[in-house]
Amino acid sequence: MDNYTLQPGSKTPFMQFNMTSGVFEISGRSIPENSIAFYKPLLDWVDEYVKSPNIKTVLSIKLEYFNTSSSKCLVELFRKLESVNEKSEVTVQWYYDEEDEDMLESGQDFQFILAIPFELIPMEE
Amino acid sequence: MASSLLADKAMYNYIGIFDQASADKVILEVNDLLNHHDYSLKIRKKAFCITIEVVQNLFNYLCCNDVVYNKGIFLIHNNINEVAITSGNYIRKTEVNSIKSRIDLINCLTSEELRHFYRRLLEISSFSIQDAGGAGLGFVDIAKKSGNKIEYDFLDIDNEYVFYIFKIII
Repeated sequence: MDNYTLQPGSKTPFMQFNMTSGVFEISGRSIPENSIAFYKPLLDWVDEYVKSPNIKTVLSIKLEYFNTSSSKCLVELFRKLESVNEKSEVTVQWYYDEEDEDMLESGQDFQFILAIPFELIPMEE
Repeated sequence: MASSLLADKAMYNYIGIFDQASADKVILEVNDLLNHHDYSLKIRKKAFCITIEVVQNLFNYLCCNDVVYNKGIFLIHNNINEVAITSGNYIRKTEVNSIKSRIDLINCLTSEELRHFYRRLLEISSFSIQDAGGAGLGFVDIAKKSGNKIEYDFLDIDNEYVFYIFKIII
């Protein structure tokens, strides 16, 4: 199984999901009109990963902007990682600009509905 | 509400067809515009996030196959320390009640209730190709980020269509 890497576009984020290390990253902007179509290949890749995950899985999210249709794709991604939590120690790291209260609030919303460790990490400007 | 459509007083206006290319163009132009204005980071980010939701909503819900009814309007007005975002598009009369009841419900909620409602929608959102939009999260997200009530109006056009005006102040 290959790693999943996607270079950023004007409306889509950088993604790097390393199969062997269990280190995953999503960063930049996630504002595609059709987020479902955009995230589907990643979610298919994660379906394969969860069959034989690394002992540790760390997903870092550093988003500048994301639209509401991306937010439900992120929930789907988090749910898949929740399902692997018995086989792998999963952590989600949600980075936000310390001045961006909406991005902090979004992280808190995900943290509230999820059953995996979800860290909120402020970044200085 | 109709006076909100005065394009000549807007700091940004787009009037025309909302296809993929024009939606992208509006989002890029508004991003540049906000970055070159003297707003706080907080206002800039809120205005841009709301622009994305409003423009993508216009793109998704325009009456696409009709040369008359597939046009829309997107405006940003600049007031002291606040930004007003207005959109307008044709919708079928049959859609009016559904939009109106969703906005009225959101407008009744306090900021704390909005947050709980948003979390609930996020929790029950489903990932399916058939449901490619924002699972109804868009209006709630806009109200939550702006901290203000959504204003709306429906102007009678003909037997089948109304012109739907949506306005939010940030």
